[in-house]
Amino acid sequence: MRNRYSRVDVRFRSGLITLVVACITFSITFVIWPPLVPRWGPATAQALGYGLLAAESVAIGGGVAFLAFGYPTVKRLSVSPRLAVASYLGIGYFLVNWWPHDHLHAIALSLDFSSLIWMSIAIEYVFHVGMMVFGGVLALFFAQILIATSATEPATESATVPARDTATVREVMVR
Amino acid sequence: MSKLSFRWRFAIIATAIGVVSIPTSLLLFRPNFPAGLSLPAPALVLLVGLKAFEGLALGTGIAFLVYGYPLIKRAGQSHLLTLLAYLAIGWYLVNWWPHDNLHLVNGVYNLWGLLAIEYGFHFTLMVAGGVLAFFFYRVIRLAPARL
Repeated sequence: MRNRYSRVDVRFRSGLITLVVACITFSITFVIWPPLVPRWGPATAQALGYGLLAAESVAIGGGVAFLAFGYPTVKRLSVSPRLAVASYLGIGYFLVNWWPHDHLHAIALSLDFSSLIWMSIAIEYVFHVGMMVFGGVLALFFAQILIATSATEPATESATVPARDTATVREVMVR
Repeated sequence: MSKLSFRWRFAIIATAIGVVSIPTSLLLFRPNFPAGLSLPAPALVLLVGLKAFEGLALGTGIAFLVYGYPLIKRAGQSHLLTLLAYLAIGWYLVNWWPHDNLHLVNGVYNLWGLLAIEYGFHFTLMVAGGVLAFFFYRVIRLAPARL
């Protein structure tokens, strides 16, 4: 049973988790958050608000799926484990953050001016600066992993080619 | 210039753009607050701190866009995915300077401006996050065999 489960394509499982989390997120939004576009807004703006909510829901679903399936692969990497985990968390954050982030902006807009300023600054530091830092971490991560990958490529090729040749020579000798 | 190492060239570009962008954004983008209201002094300090982060991210992003493509190309992925991942990382770093400043200029109660910023920046950043997750998965799936 376990083997059959593990054979299910990871893409299918990721897609399923994305869809389920997106549907749950979309539904509970109307219960816990105020609308992204105020109720007095025109119908076109309301439609755009719903489109944005759909995108946020899919993003959070994709983020949860990525966080669920990405970690075992990250652990196998031979770059610095801290950098690998930071990059994994960074990509997860890039996808998961938009749902709370946008709705907290919507809440801030409904407050008085002083509270709006302080809440907006808090959102800027937690979400915007957080994403700037993770953007830098990702650039460094990809630079390191790709430099390391290309540095080992000639060694890998030279290790593989003689091995094949040796096998052929042995076959010839046996014959 | 050619004697400088890659890291130095990258750092010089990032720092120079970061330093220039801070006064530029203070001059170009004035907050659009309701009449008679202004920022309290402590909030102004935090806002300037934010400008420093945005400037540094902009500089790092431009340096990455200048030097990053040959590096991303080494991943051996398709041309389209390589280009999208390169643009996504660049966008995640560069966008904050125009993005946050447009929020300030747009003001609080301009609904259509806010929606334009949401779709121009927030939506495209969600898509960029998805591209990066896919690229990350593809690259690290191959990495253990290669490293």
